[in-house]
Amino acid sequence: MRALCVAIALLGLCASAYGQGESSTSRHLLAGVHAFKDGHYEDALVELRIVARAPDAPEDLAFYLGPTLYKLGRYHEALVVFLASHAAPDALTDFYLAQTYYRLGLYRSARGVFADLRTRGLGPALDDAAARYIAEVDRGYASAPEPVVVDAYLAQGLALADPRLQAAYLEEARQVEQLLPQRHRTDEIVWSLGRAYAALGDVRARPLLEPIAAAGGPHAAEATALLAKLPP
Amino acid sequence: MRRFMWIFAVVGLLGARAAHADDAHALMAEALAAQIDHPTPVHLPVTAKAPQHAAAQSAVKRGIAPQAAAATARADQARAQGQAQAAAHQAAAAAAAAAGQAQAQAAKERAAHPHPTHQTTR
Repeated sequence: MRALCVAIALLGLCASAYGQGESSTSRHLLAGVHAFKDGHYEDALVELRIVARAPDAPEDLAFYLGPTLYKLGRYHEALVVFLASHAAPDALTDFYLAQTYYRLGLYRSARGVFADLRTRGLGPALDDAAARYIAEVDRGYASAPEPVVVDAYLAQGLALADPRLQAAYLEEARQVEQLLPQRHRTDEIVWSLGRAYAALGDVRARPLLEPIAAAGGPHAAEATALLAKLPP
Repeated sequence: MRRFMWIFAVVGLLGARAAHADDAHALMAEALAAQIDHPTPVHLPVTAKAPQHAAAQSAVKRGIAPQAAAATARADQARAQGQAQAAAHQAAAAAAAAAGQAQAQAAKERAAHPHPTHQTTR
């Protein structure tokens, strides 16, 4: 009889927890998913924003929120959501990340993600789509780009306030610069990219800033200070 | 036996909650796969202007609806297009004026120095 009471009490607790979850985060998540599926992206965003504020928001929220922002044409916000996510890699999330890069004109970054996805083994439909994206980027870069393309990405990156977006544009500038027959604003790109990564506490800043600190140039002192703040 | 039944019920309820999250994930995965887009032609940037979507994002931060931001962007684009068209019209007008001046100059020169063949025919 005692066991029965304990079991009923446990059942009640679980039912309560289940009911709460069902009535808040899970319900909003499911509503968001249904809205997305029906193409009602504004409604999906409203639901997913509620989920994002919940203490029990799923770790892979970017899987839901990133594509919704992408579908709404809010590419910068989508990119920030994708890049800030710490969830385990997921092929579909990465596919939408790559599409977001592409829509922002960050074609080299998009190509890199699509190419990586293809090595991870997508289904035939996604693989075919990724191949078409890659072919389109390769067509655009069939001949060496003009230096002005690098200038444009660099300027766009420096004009953005969010260090994540800054880093994305500067990475693109760096990748395009590597396609040029000659160096073009390499030092400026590396310094700016190092600073953007340092602002994010991203250790990718280290290999960029260390040579600058060692060279003893005009940015050496600042580079040293930024390196000191980086996590080991 | 009854005790086991209760334990199964508890486990079943917990499992149901996990399945709920799985449902959302599976549904979303299905929707994402069905709604992938196709690539548009690549347009490499050639001007050092600020990104197009920066305005939309800052508008979102200010609480302006995305449609309003998009309308603003469209208005900017139209304004830019209008400026480009105006510039083209100015250039065309300048070219026409230059052509007119050249024609007038040629007419003056012809009047001042009549063509030899015309002289002979006269």
